[in-house]
Amino acid sequence: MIYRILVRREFWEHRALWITPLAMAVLWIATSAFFRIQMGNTIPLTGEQGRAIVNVIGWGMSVATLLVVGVVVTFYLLDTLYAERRDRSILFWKSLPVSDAATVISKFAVAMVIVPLLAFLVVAFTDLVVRALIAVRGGAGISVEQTSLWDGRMWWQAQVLLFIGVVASALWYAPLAAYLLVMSAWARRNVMLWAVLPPLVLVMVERIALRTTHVWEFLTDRLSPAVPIMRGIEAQIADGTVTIDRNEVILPGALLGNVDLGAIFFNAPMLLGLVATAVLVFGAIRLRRFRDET
Amino acid sequence: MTSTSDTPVIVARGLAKSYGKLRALDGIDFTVGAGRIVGLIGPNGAGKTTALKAILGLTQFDGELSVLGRDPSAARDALMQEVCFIADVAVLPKWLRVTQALDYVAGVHPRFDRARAEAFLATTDIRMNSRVRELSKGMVTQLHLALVLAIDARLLVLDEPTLGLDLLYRRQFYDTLVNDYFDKDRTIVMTTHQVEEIENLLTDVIFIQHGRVVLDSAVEDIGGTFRQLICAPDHLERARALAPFYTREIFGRTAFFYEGRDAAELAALGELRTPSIADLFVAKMQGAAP
Repeated sequence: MIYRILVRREFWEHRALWITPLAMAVLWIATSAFFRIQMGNTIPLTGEQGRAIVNVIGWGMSVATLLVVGVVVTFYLLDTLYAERRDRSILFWKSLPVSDAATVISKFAVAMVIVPLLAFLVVAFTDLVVRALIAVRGGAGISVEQTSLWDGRMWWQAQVLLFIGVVASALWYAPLAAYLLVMSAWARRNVMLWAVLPPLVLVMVERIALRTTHVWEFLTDRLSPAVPIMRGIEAQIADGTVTIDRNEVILPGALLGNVDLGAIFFNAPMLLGLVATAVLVFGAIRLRRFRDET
Repeated sequence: MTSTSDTPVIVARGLAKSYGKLRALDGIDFTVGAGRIVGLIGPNGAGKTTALKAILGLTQFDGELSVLGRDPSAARDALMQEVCFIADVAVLPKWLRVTQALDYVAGVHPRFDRARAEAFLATTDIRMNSRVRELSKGMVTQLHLALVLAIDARLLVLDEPTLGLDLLYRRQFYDTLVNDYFDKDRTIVMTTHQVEEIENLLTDVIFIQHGRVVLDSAVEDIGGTFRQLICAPDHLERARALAPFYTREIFGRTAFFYEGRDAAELAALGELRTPSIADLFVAKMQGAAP
């Protein structure tokens, strides 16, 4: 299977792809092992409130790691088909019996499947260690009536929810990722600028010429990090089955019971985005095949 | 061009390529037979690299081109199972480790013999865990050569493979190529500026100028077609009358280059010899210049 070695190749070149989630894991585990939470003179929390706080800490660390990995993946996508042209190593890669399709698809799969999956496994494990450490340290400063803050079921529910979020995000952002890949294969220099400029120009032209903001709304909708997961519960929020009360802690179990997978994955914007992804990836393959400047 | 095999390795008919208004290849024809070592020789910008890129499926072209029976523009990846390529600039990426290069080629190339590559590397100063950026230019070429030597390919394409290397590396490169790689089933097509260094290797030469083929000949046939006359001073007029295509003054003596003139006709006028490929190249290029 040729894809195995193609994927390994990407991790050799772009070491940040695997170092980042591991480094973040070390940071979070060290933090939860040595830092104490300053609660002040507040009254002790109930056991449930305490566990909910631990959950928010675990989630927060996981989401922070995933966001940083997202940034790393963005830079990876911008660089991957550009760097090989810049240093002319593309002539070496193309001297081997690997098709442009296999090359581009392996890069896209690294960005949108393998790294997200790897990062998820790392954050899930990290979260487990963090929750265990806080429980073992008797709350690490969280004052609670009842000492045991350990709740394995809650960890599990949180990871299921997070996994749905990771998959939904990967699919939701796939067309953006494929667009970056196209720009990486196309731009002669300054890929980042070329990637940002066309949508920005479109927004400005539309605003000046038509006095409308459709492109801007389309882009902000696609870029908003809350969109993919929120789509699955917004209907329940609308009809009152789920209430988001800012004064109350949100428990993963409650959310999980109300997640509508159909609503998350089977909606027109999501499916249209996947069609656009296929077209853009195909475009990147064609560009790599026919781009001739070396 | 003569061929040792019935099926040629490369057949080009009306091969053409334009970059905007520049006509890099102006509809050239040539055939490369199996078991030949062909030098594609021409000045900078003559179209050599463009021709090689077309052969390797790295660029689109007009006209007909068949490499090992395939169309390189449509089937590059399949073709690369049987074709190897080393380009002028060291194209191995700087971040790559020697072991990673071996792992990668072993992973993607069904005809790669890793043990052979490692055996060759053991004869060099290259350490297995070095990155390409830590190697000298000569070592990078050695590494690339080690990879290519271990691939059981039918066609090897070299584009200025020894550019920027010192004499020791260059000599070793070509010696390895001829002794450890080349055999009657393999074909090598190469371009280089250092014609003198490879002229004893070549079985065939193709001279390209302004995107056109100006000479396509087996090396053994050159002597029958081209003659270089070091003319005796009192025969200069008669020698000029025989229409040399190029004239050169060396140390006060005059060398005339003839194409298709009978040896008997020229022998009386001075010292006759077969021009070296380098001399013939200069003569052809300068003689053809407007």
